[in-house]
Amino acid sequence: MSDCERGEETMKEIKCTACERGCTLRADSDLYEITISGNKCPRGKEYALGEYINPTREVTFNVRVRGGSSPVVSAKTAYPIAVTKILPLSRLLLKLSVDAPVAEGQTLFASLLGERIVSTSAVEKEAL
Amino acid sequence: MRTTDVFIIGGGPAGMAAAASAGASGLNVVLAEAAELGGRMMTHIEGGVGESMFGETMTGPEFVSHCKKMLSGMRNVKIIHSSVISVSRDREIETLGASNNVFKAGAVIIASGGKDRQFAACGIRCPSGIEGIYSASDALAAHCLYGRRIGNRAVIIGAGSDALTVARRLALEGTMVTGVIERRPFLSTSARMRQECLDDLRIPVYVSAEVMGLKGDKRVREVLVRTPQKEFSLRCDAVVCAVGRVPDASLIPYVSCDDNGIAEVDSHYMTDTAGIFIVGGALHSCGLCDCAAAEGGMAGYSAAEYARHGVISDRREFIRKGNCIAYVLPVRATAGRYADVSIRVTETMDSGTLVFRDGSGNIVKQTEPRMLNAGKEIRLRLSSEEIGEGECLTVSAEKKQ
Ligand code: SF4
Repeated sequence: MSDCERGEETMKEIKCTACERGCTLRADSDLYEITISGNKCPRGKEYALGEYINPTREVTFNVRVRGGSSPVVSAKTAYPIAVTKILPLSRLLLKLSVDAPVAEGQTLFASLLGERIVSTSAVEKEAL
Repeated sequence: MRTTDVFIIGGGPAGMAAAASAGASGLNVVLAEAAELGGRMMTHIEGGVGESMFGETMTGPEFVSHCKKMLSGMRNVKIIHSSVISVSRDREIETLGASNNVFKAGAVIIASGGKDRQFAACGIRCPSGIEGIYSASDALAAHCLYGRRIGNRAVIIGAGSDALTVARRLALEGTMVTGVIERRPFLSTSARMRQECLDDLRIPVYVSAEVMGLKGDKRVREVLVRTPQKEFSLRCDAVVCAVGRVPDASLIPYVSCDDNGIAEVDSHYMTDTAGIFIVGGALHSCGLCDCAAAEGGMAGYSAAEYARHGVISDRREFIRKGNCIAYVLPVRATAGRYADVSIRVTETMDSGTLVFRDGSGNIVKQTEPRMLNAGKEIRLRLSSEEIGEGECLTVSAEKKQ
């Protein structure tokens, strides 16, 4: 049973990263409502809500390439992904590779843990 | 000897931006890059760059490919693959190559980047000839260019944005980061970098921590760390030394530099040797991309103007450093034009302001109180009215409650 289900209040401290000031925000929630405090501006509230409910990030990787002029190609997730997925996804990617050639913006994997992985540079076939 | 109007050394963000803006003037431009175009951007696979040039953010490699496309459309911009050995005061450039390797240029822009500050420079004792010690650039290149890991467990010394970028890259690609060690009591990066590079990936960071030494026989095995509370050691088989970057004006040893090795430039980024410009990492530790590109763009434009007319309008010294300022640049500006200045303070203030005073002590400009971070450059624009006509300004940092 999570804290919420027990009807207890839960609290999370969040460092706002929406601007240089870096206010320390606090999200308190009970069953019905999430309250944000500590923000010096409205952007902070929005940020803290997102960060409390489902924090997401843009993540980039190097993906192994077989038979290419470079051994790796840089890649990113097509959309920001949940923070909890970052490490599992990165571990999975370490075991995978793609075949050269790779074009910039090509979909390397359509669905890894439900996320699409797109290349951010091009790799040619290795000259024989 | 070959001739050209503008000769640019270095094909990183600063050099490419300079080539684009000098090329836009229609003059002949040569850009010399020893390796691949892109410089450090090719190993910055994270997003968040390019805003200043393309109005949107993208990853480093995408930025490079955007720039390449833009430059390949310019007939008057020629890219040569060779390294530059010397640049003389009268703008003769000697490059490595078989024949015709001396150029005579109307204006030269040095955009060849800075250097990683070395281990020895931060006074860390380390057994000689030990393996497993890398600079931040080497560590990133190993991952992003060569597809290799540097070790299984790594310790990172320094906590600037380069250090944090390395920490994240290693952690995402199978190397456990056992600690990030910062000498200062705070991290000099943004809250966002800290969250995304360290906290999200659960990488421990130690502040006010000093590296007492490294242990190991052939390869490094342990890093000894001391914080005000305790002494401990971190096990590792790789150490990344990411203690910042230093400017590199070694191609033009005859220009005047301040005691940080930063060349004295005007607001066009021209040095005190006429026709020779310096921008980006070669000039100061300017962060990764957007600032370097903005400087390159400015210098490219002005270098073209210089190549065409042999002068850029009047210049004079307009700003000096006062209390608590490590450096300010540029130091000379053109009358009647604004100037973008970069300032670094000597000590971090939770709440401080930058105050600009004229010769008689009157306050000309004052910034809003905010945190002044000694680990990071502060940039702001002074309008032509603020720069004024005659007197030299003094900038100082003051604590505000
Ligand atoms: S709450 Fe507002 S002022 Fe504070 S860090 Fe966030 S965006 Fe900046």
